[in-house]
Amino acid sequence: MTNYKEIKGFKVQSLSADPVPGVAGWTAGGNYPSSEPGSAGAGTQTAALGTAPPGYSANSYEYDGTSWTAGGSMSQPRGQAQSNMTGTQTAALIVGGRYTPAPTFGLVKTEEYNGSSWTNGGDYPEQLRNANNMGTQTAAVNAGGNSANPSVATNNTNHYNGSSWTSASNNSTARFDTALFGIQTAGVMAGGFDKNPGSNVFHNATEEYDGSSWTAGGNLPAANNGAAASGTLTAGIFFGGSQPSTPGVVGTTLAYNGTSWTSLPATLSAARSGHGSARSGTQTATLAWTGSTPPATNSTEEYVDNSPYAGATTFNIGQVFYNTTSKEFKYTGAGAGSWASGNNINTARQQGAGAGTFTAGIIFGGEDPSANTGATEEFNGTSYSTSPGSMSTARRFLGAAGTQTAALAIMGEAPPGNTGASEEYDGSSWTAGGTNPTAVGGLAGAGTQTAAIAFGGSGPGVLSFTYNGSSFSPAPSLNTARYRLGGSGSQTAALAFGGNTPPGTAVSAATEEYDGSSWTSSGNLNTARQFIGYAGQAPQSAALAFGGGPNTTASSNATEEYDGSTWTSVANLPTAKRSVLGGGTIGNTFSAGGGTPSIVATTDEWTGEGAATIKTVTTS
Amino acid sequence: MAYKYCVATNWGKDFFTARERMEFDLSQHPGNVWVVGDNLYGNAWIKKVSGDVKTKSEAQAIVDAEITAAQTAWDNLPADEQENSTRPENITLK
Repeated sequence: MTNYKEIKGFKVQSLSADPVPGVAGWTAGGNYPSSEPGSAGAGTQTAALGTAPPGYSANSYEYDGTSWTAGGSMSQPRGQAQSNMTGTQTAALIVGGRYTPAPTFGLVKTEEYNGSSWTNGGDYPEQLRNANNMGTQTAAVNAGGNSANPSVATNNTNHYNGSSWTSASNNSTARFDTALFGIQTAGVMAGGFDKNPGSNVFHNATEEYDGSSWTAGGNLPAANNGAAASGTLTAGIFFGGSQPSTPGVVGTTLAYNGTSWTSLPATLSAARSGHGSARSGTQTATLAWTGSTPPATNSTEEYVDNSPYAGATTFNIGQVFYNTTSKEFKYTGAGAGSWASGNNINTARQQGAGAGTFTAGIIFGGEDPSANTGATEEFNGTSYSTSPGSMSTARRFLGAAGTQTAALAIMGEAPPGNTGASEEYDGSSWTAGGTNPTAVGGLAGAGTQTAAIAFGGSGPGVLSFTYNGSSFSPAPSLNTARYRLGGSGSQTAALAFGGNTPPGTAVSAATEEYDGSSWTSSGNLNTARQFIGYAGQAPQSAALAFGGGPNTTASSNATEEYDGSTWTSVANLPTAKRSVLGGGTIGNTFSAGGGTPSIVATTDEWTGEGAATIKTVTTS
Repeated sequence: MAYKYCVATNWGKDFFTARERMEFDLSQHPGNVWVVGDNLYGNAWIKKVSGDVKTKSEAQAIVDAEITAAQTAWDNLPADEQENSTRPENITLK
């Protein structure tokens, strides 16, 4: 017997609280005020502290989880200080760095921040540019750093107690541009760079510090310098950095468990090195800002892992659980799709055709307020632009197939009668395609410019045809003869739905699927209608029907999704429309123009399944 | 995996979300070029950020121009400044 776990991949659980939608990854944060690499960082994801760069600046900035604002100014401007700061937004410590012009190689000056202003601390025992600092303002450890040109590193380790530095046991591998996390008595240093004795060396070594000595930890999967890190000795996170030659700068995110590194699925959207980071952040909540992508970026990214339980990092749609606190049986359900208004088309029209996708769509033909039109407009997901190309035969109630750069206009009504001519669009202009001996209007189309199928419509004899890019061939007819119907899918897996069933004015809810050789009846639309809008790029098993007319005069706002067997009513169009020009898929669809019954230029945009939500199971 | 390419200016907070990052592939490149996984979520994101959709070759040209400018800037740095950074390398969009 099949059980629930075998179906869904997890057991029904008892939980004391509703699971938080599982999200683990990087989210865009507020942009940093500058974009130079080398910003020092401290604090947490929602209370971070960064210093600027650009150049050799004394500025510092505070982050509140949303945006950066100016903090206090250091007395010593400094750059090249990525790992030179540690602590929190209200108790930070910065040491060393570079200042030009300066009489010395690096800086020895230490400064402390209290959330509003900087004060001088005890000088570091040696000049450092890039330092390797971690811990707190009153219990910090600095291990090595860039102590001389050309990119020579030291491995001297010193402790800071809030007023002065004292010598401690040296670490094993001299380096700088490392990533550090943890505290003075339980810290980690990983990766880094040096040029001693003369060639570039990228390090993969990890060293752990217990407050008195350094020991080897698990090596990084790849040598890396300029990364950043947060967390604790047993729960650290390491992100970004630069690897030798290829791949260069990376957005890789790694987790450390006190022994070894594992790759996390999330990566920084902007691969970067030399970035600032929330040095007191955690493995599940940290922050990265600026850095070299290259060139430099000012973007901030926030890492969050609020997985509801181990191993669950994504929404589990359909997850069923019992909340032992509220004593309710619940499940995680898919969110609903919705319509939103879009930008107007340039030529108000109805009864035309659409093709392509939501971000690369096309509309053409139809009836504008004065006459049939051959006008063509391209849609980029935001706005419509008129193409210089216009069909040579203005027409309405035509079939359509293809994409924005390879569209097909199939026959249609071109008063005083129907036309059998097709036209092909190449992204800028229309050229004549094959002409069908049987002229058909009110038909639907599906497929591509070179492998299309046209079905239904008003005309004599056989009313389904395939098109191969140059000529039409007869194909099996629909079981329910109709015109002004909807259609989607491909030449060998098409879907026909709705329409008008002559004689008379009866509208149809019938749905038929085509398998390349015959049409088979499937589940009816919930709302029978003609002049129906549809997402032409939708496959046979996931179609969308919207708008239309329940009779010859009224308009409908009904929207329905098809799952391969059944139509389900979903959110209505904001305004009832008929004979719209549409394209896209069940996930993203555009609906342009149409009749209310007045011919309009307005558009609507459909976004499918929304965010998952927790729903309570009730009984009656 | 199929990708789309667009140019969009990162406005900051929630320009993309961790949830969106899990729903489609997304990477940022010089010149505000974004490579976006071509699925319904990726397409919705392009719309959300008012992305200017580009062909792959158009997007690559923008990146190339940015990298060339960055390489030139790096080449003009004093030697000791070059020690502190690596010369930008060409990026080939996926």
